Amino acid sequence: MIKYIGRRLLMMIPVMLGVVLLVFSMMYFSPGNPEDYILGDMATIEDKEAFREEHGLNDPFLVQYFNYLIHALQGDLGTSYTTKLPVWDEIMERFPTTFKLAVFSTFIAIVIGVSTGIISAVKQYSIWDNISRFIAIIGVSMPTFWEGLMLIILFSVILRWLPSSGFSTWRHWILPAITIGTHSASSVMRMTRSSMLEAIRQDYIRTAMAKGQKYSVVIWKHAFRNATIPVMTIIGLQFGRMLGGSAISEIVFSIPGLGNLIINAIKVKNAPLVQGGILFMAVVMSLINLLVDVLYAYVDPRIRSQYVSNKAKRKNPVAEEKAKEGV
Amino acid sequence: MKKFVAFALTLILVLTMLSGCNQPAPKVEEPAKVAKDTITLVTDVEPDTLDPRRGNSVANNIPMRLIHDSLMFMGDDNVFQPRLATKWEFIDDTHIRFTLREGVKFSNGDPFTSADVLYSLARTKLDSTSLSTMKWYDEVNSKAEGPLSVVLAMNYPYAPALQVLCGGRTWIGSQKVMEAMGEEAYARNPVGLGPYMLDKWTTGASMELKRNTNFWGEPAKTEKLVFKYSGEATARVIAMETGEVDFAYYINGSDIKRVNEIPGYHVERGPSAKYYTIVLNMQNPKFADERVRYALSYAIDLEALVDAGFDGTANVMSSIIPSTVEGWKDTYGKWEYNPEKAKALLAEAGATDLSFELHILPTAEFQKLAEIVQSFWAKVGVTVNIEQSALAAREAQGPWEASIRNGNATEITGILIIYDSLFASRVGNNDDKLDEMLMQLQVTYDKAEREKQIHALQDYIYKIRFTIPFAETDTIYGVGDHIEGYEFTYQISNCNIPEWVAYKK
Amino acid sequence: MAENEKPKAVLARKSQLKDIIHRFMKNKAAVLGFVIIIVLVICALFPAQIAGPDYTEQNLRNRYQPSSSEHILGTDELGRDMFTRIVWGSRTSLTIGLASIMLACSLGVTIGLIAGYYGKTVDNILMRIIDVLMAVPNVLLGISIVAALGNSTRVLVLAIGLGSMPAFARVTRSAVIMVREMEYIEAARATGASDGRIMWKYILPNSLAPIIVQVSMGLATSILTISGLSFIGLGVPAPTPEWGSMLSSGRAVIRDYPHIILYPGIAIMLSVFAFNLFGDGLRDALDPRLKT
Repeated sequence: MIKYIGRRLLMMIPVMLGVVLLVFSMMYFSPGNPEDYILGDMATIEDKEAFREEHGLNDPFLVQYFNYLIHALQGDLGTSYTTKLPVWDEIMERFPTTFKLAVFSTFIAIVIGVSTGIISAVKQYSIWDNISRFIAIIGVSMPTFWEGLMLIILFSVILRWLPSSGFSTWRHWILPAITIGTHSASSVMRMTRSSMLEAIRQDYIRTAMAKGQKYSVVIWKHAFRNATIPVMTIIGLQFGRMLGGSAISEIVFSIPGLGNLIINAIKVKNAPLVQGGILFMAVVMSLINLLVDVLYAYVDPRIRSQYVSNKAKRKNPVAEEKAKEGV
Repeated sequence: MKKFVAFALTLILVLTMLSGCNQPAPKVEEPAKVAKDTITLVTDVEPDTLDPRRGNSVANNIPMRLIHDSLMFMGDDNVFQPRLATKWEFIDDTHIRFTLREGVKFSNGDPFTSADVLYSLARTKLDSTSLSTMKWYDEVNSKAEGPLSVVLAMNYPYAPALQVLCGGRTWIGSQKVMEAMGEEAYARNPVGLGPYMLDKWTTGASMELKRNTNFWGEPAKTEKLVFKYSGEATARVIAMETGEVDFAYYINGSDIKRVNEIPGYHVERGPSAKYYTIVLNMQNPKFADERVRYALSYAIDLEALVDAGFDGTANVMSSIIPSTVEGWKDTYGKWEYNPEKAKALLAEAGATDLSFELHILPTAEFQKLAEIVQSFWAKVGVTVNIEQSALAAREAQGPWEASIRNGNATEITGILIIYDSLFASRVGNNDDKLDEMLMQLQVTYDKAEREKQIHALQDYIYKIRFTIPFAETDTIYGVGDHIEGYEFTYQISNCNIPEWVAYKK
Repeated sequence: MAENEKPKAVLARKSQLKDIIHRFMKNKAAVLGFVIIIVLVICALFPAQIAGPDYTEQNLRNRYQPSSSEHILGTDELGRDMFTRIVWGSRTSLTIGLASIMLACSLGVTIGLIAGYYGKTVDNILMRIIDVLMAVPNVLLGISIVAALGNSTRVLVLAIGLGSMPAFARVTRSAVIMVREMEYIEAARATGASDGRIMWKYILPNSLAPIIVQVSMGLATSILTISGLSFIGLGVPAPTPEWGSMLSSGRAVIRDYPHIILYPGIAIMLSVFAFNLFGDGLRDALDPRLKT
């Protein structure tokens, strides 16, 4: 197991180097020079030249890239152009908010997704099943920002139950968490349904039923327990996605999270903050994906044995889901 | 009966006066009002720094006006008032002597001296955002004549110098603390001379201030202030509806009725110094022909533009500067909207398939204005590509072929700075006469002579049509009825917040 | 040999196709999706005939109008007809969506084919590149590309295409891995066919099902992403009508005139919904084993 984790961590390294390269070159080749942004139009050419020298901006691309990498490895992601604070500090100030939002949203995704998924599976082809599946597809089809605005109209403007922006009290969290959560709830619902169906079709369920056990007991004790593994992993994946992908929702609800920070930084070409922020997100998302895979391997002996023997072709629903959704 | 009422009223009046400030007035009619210890305000943009030389935006100056202080102050009445300086006199055209207030202390208890003034002003020359307004200032020859007296030197006579010293880029910070903790740390956690001091700043969410007990003047009436930040005007209105805030900046025209309908809140509205203009870059040969510039201006129905763009909270300008500014005069009356004339002029100038870029800042408001302008110009055969980028991104400064800009300066030189040929990235003025006139205005101290020059400038700039100024907007605040002591000001960062008392509802 | 095989294969494919269509038509939801897509495509092809030619026509004295016989969906903040703009908006969304998916598909399928066919080191390297793209959240990747290169239609296609590409690569790769062990591939190899020919002639056609499904799903996602980018002001430049930017400009008046936000949102939702349903239906029809 440890060997497996170690290997996965090693595999992360080239990917992270690639992420840095991608973001770094995007910023490097984009029009405009940092010294113009920072020093402004009143600075003299000598000032600008001095700035370029000081920050190593005259070095060749690769030298700059490696300098950035070396600093990043030491935990130094540079200084934000606008606030002049260390990028790391800025990220750390925002990350807890994004994290908390993701936790709340995941909670909502679980409540909605798992319950409707089970009902759908147990009453397959019933009206409930059809309705749930229909709603699930609508759920993934709505743009989150639109859903957010509609919820604001309904709950803040018409009903006046909930605040529309900010994040000071728990009531502020409800609308954004629902907005982000319902999107993921759809994936959770579909995964719950299909793994429940698969579980119900297993022989031992039929055996249990044949033995005259109560239907509900069979569903809960046997089918659901077996279906939890893929459901939990999809939840983990969705959680990782929320950390990175809720940027627009953060803007809709004026939540000062990491995504909001990065989008604003992109708008003003605050390169160190953009690079640091995206790198940070990539690392966190990769770590969560790794964690999910490891957990999956840990709870499912079949998968674990595959990793140990490392040859059998694996049929891993999580991997498939990842491929499908482009996580 | 009437007599009795009159008598009772007189009695109450006398008693109130006798009791003075020390004793609470006898409460006759109202139940006991309890003052809140915190006033919560919501505005649109969070400041990016509290560095005293970086007061270059309203967003920064709202808290800076409370945390820092300046040598003097100028309110809506355009009269200088003493702040940190009690007296000032021009020694000659390029030297001003300031006598500083005695016994002033920073929020940490350190004494304020002339060294802090010289240090703070010298710093403005080292930062690009303040340098542009401080080019006249000669930091090398400015000297202290003692702990409470300084002589500020100027590189050349500069009429608006005193106005510049009224805060903004010229807040006074503590030399000792800045040197000890470093400028960047100071910018996040300043020690200032204002009525409030920073308590807690949660980037992205809120800024909390508390009363500065070392403040030299009348202490702030309310113990704590909380500033919240919300970029959406709608969200700021909702914050009043839910009672989350006592005061809101920047209310949209479409929300005025709604705010007035919220129980316990009302709108305060008045003219502002904020105006909007279309800027043509004169370095660009496309606009070299005066007929093209005239055509572009005739093509726009300014009334429709202003009405649709601001939902009835702005007025069409009738001069190139907003009407709140010193020396304003009605230059051209009603705007001539004449697309036929525009087409004819374009044809005459041979500019039949004119196409250029129009730069705006990335807000919904600018987007809307740009789309309207784009559509008007399209009707006379001019194609415009809208480009947008944030102000903080330096590329927003241009030079763009054309742009829509807003200005918020209250002082004439600050407004006309876009026409300065040194400020090449906006208008990119290539007209020597205009440059000469602007220069002359800067060195003219005499009031009557200044007014004459400002009038001439308005006529001349209207004639050459480098810009199409179109709207001066109203300032609209949402104010809780429970706030006492509120006074309207069109200079948004000058709100008299330290004098406010908010009562519990 | 190939000549001998052809008629048989064609015949087999024909009856297979019939089966697929039959299975698809039985799926009501998928048919619904298909119908919506047809309507969308018609809107995108003939917007002028359906809603009138001038989507930029402003009437500044007639702003924020609710639905009426003159303007069935009302007018927006500049007095433009919402219906006209929504119909024209379908052209924007579909064009950029299709172009970016074509880009994503051609790049992704190529990478997936090569990675899946050669395996080992080639696979490892290519998949790490895909991992890099996947590690950056799609929205942020799009935003940074647009911010760096400017917001033109071409850049949008690139930004969205790059973001959707990994899914194609992964789907293709796993399909290829399944197919490449098949006997007929062995047979082809034995006849001395080149790698390129094997990939193009034998592996790709047999891995097509999941790729086709991914095209539909990818279109759904890319329509969402376009509207998201436009919503934050980094989408299609004005005055081109785009659903996301229409929605965004209605934000300031969300309380008084919610219709400005409502209708473009419904347009986005319906189209994404249709491509999702269609994709789901295709998946079931193409590979009945996967049906749940």
